[in-house]
Amino acid sequence: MSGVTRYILQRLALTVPMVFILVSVVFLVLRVMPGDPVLAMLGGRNVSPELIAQKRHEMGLDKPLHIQYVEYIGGLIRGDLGRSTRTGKPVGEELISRLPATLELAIWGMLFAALFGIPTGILAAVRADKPTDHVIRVLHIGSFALPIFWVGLMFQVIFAVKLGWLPVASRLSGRFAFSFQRITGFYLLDAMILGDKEVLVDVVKHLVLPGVTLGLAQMGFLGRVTRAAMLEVLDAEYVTTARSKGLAERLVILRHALRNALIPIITVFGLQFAMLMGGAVLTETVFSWPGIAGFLIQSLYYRDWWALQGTIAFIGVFVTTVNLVVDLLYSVIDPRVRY
Amino acid sequence: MRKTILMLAVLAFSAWALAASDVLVLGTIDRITELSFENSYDHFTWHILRHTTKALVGMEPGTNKIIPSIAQSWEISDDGLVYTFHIRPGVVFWDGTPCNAQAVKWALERTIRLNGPEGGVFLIADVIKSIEVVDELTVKITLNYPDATFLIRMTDNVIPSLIYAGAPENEFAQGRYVGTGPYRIVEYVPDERVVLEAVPTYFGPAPKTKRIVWVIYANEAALRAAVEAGDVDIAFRTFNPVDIVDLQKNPNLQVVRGPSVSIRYLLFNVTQPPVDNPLVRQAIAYAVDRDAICERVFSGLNSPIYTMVPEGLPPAGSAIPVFPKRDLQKARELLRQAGYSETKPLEVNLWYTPTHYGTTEADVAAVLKQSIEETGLAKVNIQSLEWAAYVKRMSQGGFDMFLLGWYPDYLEASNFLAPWTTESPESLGTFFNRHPRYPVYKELMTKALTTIDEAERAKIYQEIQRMSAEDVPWIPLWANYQQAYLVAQKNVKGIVLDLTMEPHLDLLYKE
Repeated sequence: MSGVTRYILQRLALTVPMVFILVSVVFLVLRVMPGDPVLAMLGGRNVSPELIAQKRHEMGLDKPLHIQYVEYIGGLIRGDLGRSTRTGKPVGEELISRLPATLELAIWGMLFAALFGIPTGILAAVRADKPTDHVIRVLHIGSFALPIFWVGLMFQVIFAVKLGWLPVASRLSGRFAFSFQRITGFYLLDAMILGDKEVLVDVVKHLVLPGVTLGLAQMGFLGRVTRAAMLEVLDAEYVTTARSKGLAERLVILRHALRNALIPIITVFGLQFAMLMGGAVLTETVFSWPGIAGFLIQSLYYRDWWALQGTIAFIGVFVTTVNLVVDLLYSVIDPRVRY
Repeated sequence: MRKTILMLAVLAFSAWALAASDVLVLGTIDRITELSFENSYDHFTWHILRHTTKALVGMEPGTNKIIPSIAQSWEISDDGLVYTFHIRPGVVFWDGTPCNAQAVKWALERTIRLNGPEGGVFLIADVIKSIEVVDELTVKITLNYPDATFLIRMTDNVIPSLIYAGAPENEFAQGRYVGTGPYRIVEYVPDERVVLEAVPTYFGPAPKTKRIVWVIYANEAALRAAVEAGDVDIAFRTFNPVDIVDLQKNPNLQVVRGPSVSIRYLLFNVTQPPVDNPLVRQAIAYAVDRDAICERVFSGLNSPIYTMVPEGLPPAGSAIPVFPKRDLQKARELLRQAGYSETKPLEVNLWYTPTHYGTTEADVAAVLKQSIEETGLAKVNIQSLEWAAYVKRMSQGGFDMFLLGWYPDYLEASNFLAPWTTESPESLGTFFNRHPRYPVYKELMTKALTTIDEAERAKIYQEIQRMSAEDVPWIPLWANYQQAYLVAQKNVKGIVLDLTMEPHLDLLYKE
């Protein structure tokens, strides 16, 4: 077995207890929290105590806590995340149908963050303590200090309501609902497959505001990390050597400095991307983006225990996987890293 | 050549305009829970279901008059126990299957048998004893007891009464069915959109717009922005009050207010001190300032109410304003009579839930507190719990005074009187079943439900309302018009808002 395979297997093996602990904590916390899924669903309505008891029985909530726990974990091992009490559908199905929306937004957001965050971070480091650096630092700090929901709302008012350039929210204009077809759930990809230019333009337009809003906050953070990492390596002896060899400054920065500064940047990038699975709550809410974060919030309102447990377990697995991929990337970036 | 190009361009544009106006886009922040007749109980899901299939009887758009639907006529036996429905010939489901007596029996029996705990099947299940096929187009329904509200319960307003086919025998439908309605669901993407297309075989008048898309937004701000930006033709449910006031000033939009059967009120747990004392409850009824709530919190969009029964609900003349107007002097007298004074004021909790009824609830609680404390003899402690915890505590009897809202199960006055008094007093937190006059309410309600004569029935409901003003298990506060506002682009026509607080999709069109 090669080193890489062994490393991957070891990491995957570690994922199991981690997810197990995560799910157990969530299971317990939900049951300690005030509120009850049956009453959240039926309460405030004209229902009899018998109906409430019947529902509790059907959901297995009348069983002792440890039995409920064992049954839940058993289901989880079989890949059964349970059934959402709010929608009546299997939680796994709900998550899979929402995953493309979340991923699509996260990819665009991170792409924006990387395209603007990394170059500006490099520039700030190269021009450290000069006016350019000051301006960029203010921009970076400002972009992640501004509340996302406020930025989103301002974008909507300016670009959608006042200027009419872009749609307010959602993923697709209602008028294209008949010419569009959900194939992969990634609307951009679906629009390309369909080959309808109008639909493609509409999908891109819908991605702009949420993508930029989400990307802005990530950009600031990524820019800060890039600047710090670059500053560290720009002082290194091998950079001075490269310069003294007469290499062009552009090459010194990109090939010698940046490559060595990439490890922290990639780590932060990976973590940010993974966190967006459940962490894009504000952006998804402001832009009515039907992703996993919105599902999580709705489930919380309804004390939809199974949906909450399933979603958090799913996010846990996703974050771990992304981390693993990031760790594997280290060896690609830095040949000294070997597994 | 130039002329030809111009003509072609005009033609292309007209074709595009025609195609575009063929689709009507509506926006909402409501959500579908589950597309099951037997296991769903919320406004938007019911709205979609009732536009895709029909019941034996219907209600005339914009009124509460019962009209033929799948059944073209019906007879009621003298004892009020047997209803014989004659099915309209030629009604078919989307797949061409005939909708006959057997289909009606199958659908109703299936719904009653599956009786999902999250559905409203009890609205028909308790009263129906048996369903018999008399012949191809005649079906006979026998009741367990005469029920004056039975026909109302059999309209398409009550979703368990809908007739459908093709649903799984022993599982909830979850969108798997064929209907008889004007539209069929082409696509439903949770939290994103519902796409409807007109069905050519529909037995009623053809829908004015063939293609309807409901876009689901996440919040009020997005909904408002969407209609302002022209992303949607219609925006409906629910706006912030300030947004409605702003949108009314927008010359490019029309704002339509429909009827409202949604009400908000204060409830008391009549067993909990200090509100177990009727004098205290009466005093609070005199002290609450409905006008201040409507003006200060809802910018004048909602209207004060003085009884639980909304105007215009059958039977005619049921609603009478029995609760007093604000009278602080009278409130003080009652509080003194109950033994409270400036030095020993009444201390009472006011519970509310912060998001379930919109973001205005905290302001409502603040205005109520202020209006009760204005007596100088009371101190109100505002308490809040998020919805899931709120209903749990409510059903356990843990509130003394609390805010709640009601949207009816069926459109008849009894549904605005019975739930908190005789039907579910414990799960709705009043514990009125322990009140000394509970048996009187119970007797009157039973009598009303078996009284077919509408004028007689209205009199009984009036009596219950008068008693409620003395016993004060509730204090009616305001009619929730905020949810009855529809905002549309100027070119949208055919807007008819029903008592069910929803637009008739099949009547809407764009000019």
